[in-house]
Amino acid sequence: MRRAAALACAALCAVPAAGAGAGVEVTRAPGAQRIEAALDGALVAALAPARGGGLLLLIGPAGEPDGPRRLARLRFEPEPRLETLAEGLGGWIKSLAAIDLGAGPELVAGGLGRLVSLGPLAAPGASGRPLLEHPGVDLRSLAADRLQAGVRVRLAAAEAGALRAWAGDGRGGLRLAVDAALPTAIERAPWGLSIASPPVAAAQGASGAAPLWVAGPLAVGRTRLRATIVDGERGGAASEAWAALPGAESVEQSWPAALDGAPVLVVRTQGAARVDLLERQRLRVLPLAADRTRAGSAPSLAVELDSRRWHETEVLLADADADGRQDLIAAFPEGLRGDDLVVQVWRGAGGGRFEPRAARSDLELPAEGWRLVAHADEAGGPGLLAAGAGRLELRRIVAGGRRALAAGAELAAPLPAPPTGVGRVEAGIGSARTRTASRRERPQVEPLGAAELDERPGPEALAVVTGEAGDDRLVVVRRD
Amino acid sequence: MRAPPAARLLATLALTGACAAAGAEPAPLALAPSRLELEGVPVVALAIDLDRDGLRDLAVVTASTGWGQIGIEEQLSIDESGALAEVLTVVPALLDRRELAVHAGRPGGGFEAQARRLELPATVHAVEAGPPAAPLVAWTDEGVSEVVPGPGGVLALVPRIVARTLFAGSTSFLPRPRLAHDLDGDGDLDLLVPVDGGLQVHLSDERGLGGRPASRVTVPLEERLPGDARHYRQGPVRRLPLPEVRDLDGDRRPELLFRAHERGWNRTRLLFNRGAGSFGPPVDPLGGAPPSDAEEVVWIGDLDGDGRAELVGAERLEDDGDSLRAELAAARRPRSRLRIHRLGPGALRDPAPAAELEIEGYLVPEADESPVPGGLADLDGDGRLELIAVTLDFSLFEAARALTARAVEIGFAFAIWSQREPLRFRPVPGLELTGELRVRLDRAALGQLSSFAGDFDGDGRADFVQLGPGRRVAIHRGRESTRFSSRPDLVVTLAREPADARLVRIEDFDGDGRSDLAVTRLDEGDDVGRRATLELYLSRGAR
Repeated sequence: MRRAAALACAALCAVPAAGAGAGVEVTRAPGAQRIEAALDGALVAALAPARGGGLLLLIGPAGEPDGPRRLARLRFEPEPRLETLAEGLGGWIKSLAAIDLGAGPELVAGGLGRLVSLGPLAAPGASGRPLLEHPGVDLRSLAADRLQAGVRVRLAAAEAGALRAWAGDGRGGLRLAVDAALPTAIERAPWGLSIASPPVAAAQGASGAAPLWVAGPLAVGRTRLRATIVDGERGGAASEAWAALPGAESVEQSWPAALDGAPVLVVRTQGAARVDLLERQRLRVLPLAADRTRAGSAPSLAVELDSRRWHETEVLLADADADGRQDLIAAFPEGLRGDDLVVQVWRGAGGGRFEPRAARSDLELPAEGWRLVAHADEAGGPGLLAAGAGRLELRRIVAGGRRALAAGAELAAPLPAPPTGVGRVEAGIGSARTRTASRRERPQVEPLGAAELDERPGPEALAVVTGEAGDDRLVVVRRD
Repeated sequence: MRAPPAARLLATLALTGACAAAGAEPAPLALAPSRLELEGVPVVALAIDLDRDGLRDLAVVTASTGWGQIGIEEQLSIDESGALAEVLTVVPALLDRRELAVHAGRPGGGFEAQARRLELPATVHAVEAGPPAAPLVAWTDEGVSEVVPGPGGVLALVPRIVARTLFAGSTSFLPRPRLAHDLDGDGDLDLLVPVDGGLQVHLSDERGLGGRPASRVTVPLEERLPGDARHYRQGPVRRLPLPEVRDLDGDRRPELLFRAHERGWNRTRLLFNRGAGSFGPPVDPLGGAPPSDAEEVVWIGDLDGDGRAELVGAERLEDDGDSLRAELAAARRPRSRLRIHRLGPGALRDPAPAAELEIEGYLVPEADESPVPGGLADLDGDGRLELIAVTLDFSLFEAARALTARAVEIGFAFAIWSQREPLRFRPVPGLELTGELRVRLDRAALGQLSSFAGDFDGDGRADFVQLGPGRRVAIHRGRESTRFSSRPDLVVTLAREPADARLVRIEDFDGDGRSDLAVTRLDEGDDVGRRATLELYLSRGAR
C-alpha cells in the first residue's frame, strides 16, 4: 500500500521539463529534479571526474557480461542529455578511472590484467592506448563500486599476495610506485587451493591517491588479529600491526581505515566460543599499532548492534558534526527480516576514541537498497542514500543530538516503477540440490552513490533501476 | 628450554564390545585404546615408516601459541658526533609455533608415548606422506623438503626440490594438501608443487624425489582475479584448481581431472597422461556445454571398474503440487533421474546414456565436505562403485524448536544401489541404516554423524559407523552383496563424549590395513598454551 501511495504521489508530482535530450526524461519533484536516462543496456561502470564534468558511463548489452561496450556521457548543461562518445569498445573493460599522466586528466579503461587510456577526459574515444598489462591487475579490487569519482594521482590494485600502485611517469605512461607483499591465508578446498588476502583499503586521502593502505585482518587464533600497513611514500614498505578482540570472536565483516590519521580496523564479529542463532552483531574499533609482543591492544569501542547476525552492516568513518574529528557511522537492518533500517553515530572524541553513547535514527521504510555516502551535502558531510517505497532519498547524517539522520531529506524524488519478477530458490545438501520453489523477487533498485556532476552546488544522488530484460535506467536526482 | 612432553600411554580404557556375529562371521572386531599427550592442537596425523624399521610411526603436527621472547637489535645514536650503539632489546612476545612429533611404532602395536620432535618454521605449509624413499615430505616457501631422522633420533628438514611455491608469504598450514599422488602409475607417490606458472610434477623413484620437474602443468580453470567485483568485499582471492588423479582411459596411468571452484563437475578439464610425468592439453569432456539445462554433472570417473571413465548426470524430477507440505516432502526425499554416459574417444561425453536409473534421496558427491555422507563409493570391494543416497527426516516443528533447544536434529536414512554387473544398478533391499545429524547451535558443533567410513576388519568392504549419541560408537560390518546388519558388530564406548564429531577421524593410523579411530580432546580455555590429547582406538581384531 505504501508503495502504491508513493507511486501515485510520484505520478502527480512529476512534471516533464522541456529541453531534455533524446533518451533522457526530466521530471520535477518538490525541491528536486529527477533525470532519468534509458541506457539501452546494462551499466558496467560510471565515473564522475569533477564538478561540472558530467557522468561518464560504460554500458554493455543486457545479459551479456562480456559483450561490446559503449561509452557515453550524461551532460547537464545547458540541459541534461546523453551523448554517445564511442561504441564497439572491448567487452573486457570492467571499470573506469581518471588519472593525470602529465598532460592533463585521461580516461582509463580497466579490465582483468589490462589498463588502457581512452584519451583525454574531455574527449575520450574508442581507440585505447595500452598503459599496463599485468595478470594481477583489476582496479575494482580497491574500488569495487560501479560509481567512481575524482581524478587520481595513482592507480592501485590488490590481488592475493600483492598490492601495487602506479603513478604517471611524466611521459604519458605509468610507472610502478608501490609493490608490497600482502599476507595470505591458504585453504585446501575440495576443488583446489584458495589463496586469499584480507580486504585492503586506502586509509588516507582520496581513493588511489592515498600514501597509506591497510590490509586486514588475518585471524591468529580466536582472539588476535593481524594487519599489514603499507606505506606508499616508501615504495610499499610493509609493517605488521596487531589487535586483540575482547574474547573468542570470528570476524564477519571488516573495514580497514584511518581514524584521526592512525590506521584502525573496524570489524563486525560474532561469538566464536558459542553460537547464538539470534545473537546480535558486535562492532569493534581496533587501533592498529606496531606491537612487539604481538598480543595486540584492546578495542577503542566495543558495542552490540540491534541487528541479527545474518544481516549485512555498512560502516563509514567521517566527520558528521564538523568538529574536525571523525565519527563512526553504522547502518544496518533491524528485525528478523530486516525491514527497518537503523543508522547510529558514535561521536569521535579525538585520538581514535569515541563517546560511548550513540545517536540513532530508525528509518521506517522498506529499504530495498541503501548505502552510506561520504559526501552528501555542500559542506562534504556524510549521508545515507536509500531507495525504497518508490523513492530515492539522500539524507544527511548528523551527530550531536539524539538523532543520527537529519529530519528532512537533502534530496528526494520518486523512482520509476521497479519491475518485480518471480525468482527461484534452491534447497539441498552441499552441492546436491533439490527442487526449486518460487518467491517474489526484490525490485532491482541499486543506489549508486552521491557525486558532484553538474555546476550546481552540492552532490547529486544516483541510482540504477534494472528492467526485466536487464536494461538499466539511470536516475539522477539534483536540486531544482 | 621446553619441558619434556608429558605423554603417556594408558593401558586400558573402558571398552565394551558387543559382537552380533552371524553364523559365518570371521573373528570379532576389537579396538584397543591408547592415548598420546600433545604439546598443542593436532593439525594432522600421518602413519609413516620414517625410520624404515618396518613399523608404522605416527607423525603428528601440532600448532600452539605461547609466550616467549624475541630479541630486537636497534642502532641508537649516543652523542652528537654520530656514534652509534647496537642495542639488543629482549621483549616478551606471543609466538605461534608448529611442531612435528613422531611417535615410533611399537612391535606389539601402538605408538611410543615419547616422541622425536622438530619445530617447523613458519615457512612449512604442509606435511604429507611421500614415497617409500622419502616417507615424510614438507611443502615450504622454497619447495619441498624431506623430514629425515638423523643421528640420535634428531629430525631435520632437508631440501629436495627447490622452487618458489605459491605458499610463500602465507602463514597457513594445510592439514590435508592432497599434493602427493601416484602420477606415473608405478605404485609410488609422486609430488605436485604449486608454483606461479602452474603445477610442477616431480616423480619419485627408489632413490628418492626427483629434484628436477618432469613437467610443469598449466592449471586450467584458474581464477586469479574474480570476474565479479562483489567478490572483493572479502578481500582478493586467487583460486587454483588442483586435480583429482584417476585413470580414465584404462592405460593404468592416471589422468588429471580439474574442476572450477564454482559449478562443481559442470566445469571440468581433463589432461591425459602421456607418460614420464607429462600431460596433454586440457580437454572439456562436455564439449563446452552442460548436458542440458535440467541436468547437472555430479561425478566423473571410473564407475564400473574397467579403467575407463563414465560421467554421471542428474536431472531433478519435479513433484506435483505447490503446497508447503509437498515442497517439504520433496526436500526430504528428492527424486532424480541419473544418466550415466561413457566418455568416448578424446574423453568426450557420449550423448547417448549407457544406463539410466531413478533414485530417491540426495547423492552428495565425494569430497564435498558436507557433514552428511553419501555419494559414490566402492562399498563391497569389487572395484565397482555403489550409489549411496540420503533421505532426510526433519520437520518445521524441529526447526522452530531449534531456537529454544539450541540444537537441530536431522534424521537421515541411507539407500544403496549396488552395481553387481557393470553399470547395472539395483537397490539393496532390507537396509536399516539410519543416522542422525545433531548440530549444536550453542557450540557450532556436530554432535552425531553416521557414514560408510573405514574398513575396520581389513576385508576390503566399507563398514558403517555411527558416532553418537554420547560416547557411543557403533560399527556395522560390511558384508557380502553390500549388506549391513541392523545390529552393530561392535560398540565402543569412548572415554568421554567428543566435543564435536569433526574431532573424530577414521583412518588407518598404524598402517595395518584396518581402520582406526582417533578422537582429539582440546583443553578448555584460552588459545595461549592450549594443549590437546589424541585418543586412539586401534583395530586389533583378527581379519
